[in-house]
Amino acid sequence: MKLISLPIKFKLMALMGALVICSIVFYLFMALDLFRKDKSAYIYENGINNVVSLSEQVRLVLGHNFQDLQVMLNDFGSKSEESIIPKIMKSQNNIIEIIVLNSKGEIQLEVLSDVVLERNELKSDHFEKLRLTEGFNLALLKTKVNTISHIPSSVGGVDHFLLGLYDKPSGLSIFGRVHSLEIINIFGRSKIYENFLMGSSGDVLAHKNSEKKDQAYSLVEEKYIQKIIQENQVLGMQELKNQQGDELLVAFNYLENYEMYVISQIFKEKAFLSAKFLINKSLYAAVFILSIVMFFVILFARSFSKPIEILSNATLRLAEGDFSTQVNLNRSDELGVLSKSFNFMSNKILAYMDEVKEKVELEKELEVAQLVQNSFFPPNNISFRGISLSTYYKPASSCGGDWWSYIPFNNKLIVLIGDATGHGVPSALITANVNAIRNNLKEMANTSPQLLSSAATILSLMNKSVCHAGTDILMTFFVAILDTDDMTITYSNAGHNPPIKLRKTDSKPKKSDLVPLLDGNNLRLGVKATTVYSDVKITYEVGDALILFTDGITEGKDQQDQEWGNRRFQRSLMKHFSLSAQDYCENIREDAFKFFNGQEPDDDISLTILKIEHEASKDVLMYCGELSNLSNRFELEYKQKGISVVCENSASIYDMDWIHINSKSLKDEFTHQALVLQPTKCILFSEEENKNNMQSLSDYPISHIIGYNSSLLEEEVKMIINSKEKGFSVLKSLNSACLKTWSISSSVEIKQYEEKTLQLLPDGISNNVKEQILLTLNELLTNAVFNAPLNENGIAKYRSTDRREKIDLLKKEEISLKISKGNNFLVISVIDFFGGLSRDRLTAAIQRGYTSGKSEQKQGGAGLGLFMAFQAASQVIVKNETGVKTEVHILFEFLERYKKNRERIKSFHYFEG
Amino acid sequence: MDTSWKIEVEAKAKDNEHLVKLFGVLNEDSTFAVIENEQVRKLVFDFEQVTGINSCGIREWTNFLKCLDAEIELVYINCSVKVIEQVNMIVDFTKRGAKIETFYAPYFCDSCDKEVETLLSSDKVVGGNAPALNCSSCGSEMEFDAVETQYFEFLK
Repeated sequence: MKLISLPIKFKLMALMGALVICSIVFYLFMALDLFRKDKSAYIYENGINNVVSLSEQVRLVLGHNFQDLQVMLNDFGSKSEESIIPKIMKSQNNIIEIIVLNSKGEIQLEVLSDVVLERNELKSDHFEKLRLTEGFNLALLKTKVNTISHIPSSVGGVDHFLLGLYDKPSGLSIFGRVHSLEIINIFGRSKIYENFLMGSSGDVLAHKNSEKKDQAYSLVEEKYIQKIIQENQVLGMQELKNQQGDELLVAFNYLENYEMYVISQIFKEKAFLSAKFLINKSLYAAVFILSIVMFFVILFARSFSKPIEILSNATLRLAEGDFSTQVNLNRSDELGVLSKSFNFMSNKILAYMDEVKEKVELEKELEVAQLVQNSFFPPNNISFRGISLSTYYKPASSCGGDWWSYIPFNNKLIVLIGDATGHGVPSALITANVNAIRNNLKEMANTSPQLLSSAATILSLMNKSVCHAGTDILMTFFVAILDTDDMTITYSNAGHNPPIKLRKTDSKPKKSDLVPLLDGNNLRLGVKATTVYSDVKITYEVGDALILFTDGITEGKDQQDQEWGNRRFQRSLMKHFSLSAQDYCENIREDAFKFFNGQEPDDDISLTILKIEHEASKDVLMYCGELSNLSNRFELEYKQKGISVVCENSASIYDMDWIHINSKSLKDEFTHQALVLQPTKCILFSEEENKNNMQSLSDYPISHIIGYNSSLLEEEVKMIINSKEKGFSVLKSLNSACLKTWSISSSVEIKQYEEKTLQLLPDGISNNVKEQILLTLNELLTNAVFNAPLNENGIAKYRSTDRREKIDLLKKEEISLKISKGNNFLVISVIDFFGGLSRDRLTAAIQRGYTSGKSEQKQGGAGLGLFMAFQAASQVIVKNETGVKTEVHILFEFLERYKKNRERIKSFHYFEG
Repeated sequence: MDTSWKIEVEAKAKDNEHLVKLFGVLNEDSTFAVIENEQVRKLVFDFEQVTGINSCGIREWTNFLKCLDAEIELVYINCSVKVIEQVNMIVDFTKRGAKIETFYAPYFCDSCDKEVETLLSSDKVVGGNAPALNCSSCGSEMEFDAVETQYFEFLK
């Protein structure tokens, strides 16, 4: 996620700051502009007024002076006896000298002011000398009538004006030297403006600055003065620059009579000093205001950006998966609303996620349930002793309430079909129930085959299971037992829609060939546990078909809500009758779904087709497969026994009576199928280590392992084949002769029989083998004495007894010990009359020895003893009749060498019944 | 064949070790009381005279080993073929860390056509291969009369 490059509070601060600054600048600009304009106008006006005022004052002063001169001239001209000239001179203390000239320029009168001379420390002949140098311009005076010129102090000793007046009638002229102090003082009054009197040539005639007064200086070099002079303006004010570049505001007034300028000037900067002051003050104020504003902006921005930051962080946490994030902003504005919306959203997400999680879990469970249910069903298509079976099943939802199965058992094929009320998981759970019963029946039939001889018995067991399931779900159920030997069907029905038997026909079947199995019907499973079901027996022929189905197929509907119905179903049955079971099933299915026309069925559909292809073979079939070389050895023998050897797996596994399999091809498809479907018929020829063979016994419920290096291979195979015959005896099958039989009634007898057995052992047996035999004998007898006898509760009576204790067995508990000898082998047989050594218990005990090397019990060596016996023996043969008798035969092949003994892969045979 | 069980303990003066000789059949009657509470550094068990072992005897032996102090060093010597078979079969027969120093191994002399059980030292078995031995009677090389991977399992 992109990092924040500029937080919002800074943006706010920047925005507010910019606004304030712009406002202040704008204000300053506007205000200053107005102020400047106003100030300019004021300055301009003031300047003009100033020069006008100064001009008036100059005119006044000069006017007075000229008046005085006129008076004095008139007085002189009047030749009065008492001249007023001295009086005037005395009263006007700024008149330094007057001189009257006649028309020829001859001095007629000269009067000096002694006061001025004295004040300025001038000699009395000072002005006389001055006249010599400076003289009077009488011609000009006569032209202009009055003249005025400035005599600076550097020239005249004292700064004064020389005024001239001409009286045309008398032809007299009067020149007066007038001190310029009065005029200087006029120009020196202003503290703001720089005022001076300037001649038309640019000479400064009067200025407040005493330094400048003393020195004659000219401003004629100043361009701005030149400009004023050149422009010939009488009155005005201009912005001008001096030679130093300073901006000046110059007001001027031309005194035409005197050819003088009154100048009043001020530095512009000085003139607008207040404006600058105003700007500075405004700036200070602006900074202050800005600071205040920024302070409040920061406060405001924080109050605004903090909640946004909180919301932003919460959103990030939400994005990272923390859906429990909550934001608590107690605000009554849009941000408060936003925080509430956020909380609502995250709660909703949490709730939604919980829902989704629940849904996913539910879907997973459904998936698992579906997988589990799918595992209930055996392969869809099988062939069993002339019967072809094909099945189609489709649940309406992920799990269905329909259930079907079959059990191939000896010469019988038991077919089952059921339909639990409803569909979905609850119904599927009931099917799990009946499936468990089916599996148990199959297992128990190995020892109690009568369980699978009555359909009614099977239904009864199913019924009890469904009743005790603790649900209200009922189940229709149908069981049919097809006996391939006498070609009969024994069936029983628990409310299921009656299956149809379709009789063989040479021509196209008619409706009359469809025979519904209506008899033997009773209550559905689950109504009451005490329901009594009944068997019905019918016959069948080659060419007949049996169709089992659930109502999902006949009650399936099309888009017009019309059911397929029994009529269409039966028509389909008749139409495709001639096909193989698999094609038959497929075509009926196609007809149904064609009718449904895309409409999904709302009930489970099950359809099982059985076609009687041919009669079951009477031969015993032995499949040898890869072990065909082995079969060659026994072929004659098998033929004599009526066993047909097949080396191809084209025949159905169910049709085989025995199946040879090789330890190297356990994972091959056919072998694997045989191990799963018909393990009791498998004979494993093994080249594997004994430990691995024991593992195979754990992995598959096989009962026969023959070590490939057995020296009694033929005998072992013969024994297996003979085991199906009535009155089968292990020792007879092995062609062994009994050397001795003893009955053991006490634990202390074990040792003495070891001794007795030792005496019976033939000569030529190696010491190693002898030791093995005696060890095995000890283990078997100990095992039988301490573990075989059962109490009334079926628990091993002496199992926990210390092996050192003496046990006296009851009569019925006595153990039989038999020593038999065959051609190059010896058999130790220990027989008890309790029949408690099941295949699983036996294999588990031996397997334990391999996996942990430990015994399961502290007191006894039961498991360990069997393991040690197995290790010592060449063959372990057990024949067990549950609840009746257990025979444990340990066979020792007389292998000459210890090594041969160790290399011998142990054979294992377990016979039940 | 005397099968009665007995134990003889020889205490070695130095090294704080005892030599324990076992006699007879190791079965449910075998007891080890005499050495159950030994406080020594090392126990050497001599199996030369053990004539048989059954599953109950194995149980007694393994229970006895559990009583011993874990610090005691255990050594087995002169183990017969049947003892080696038990050692290979039963995990608990040798307590963890117990060393089998010497044992009998089956050999077969083709020339003499007879089995011979020869005492071997464990360190003579290199790479799981039985050492080559000659028949004491005819001098010809004897064949090791067991499956090596099986018989020397205890040396792994």
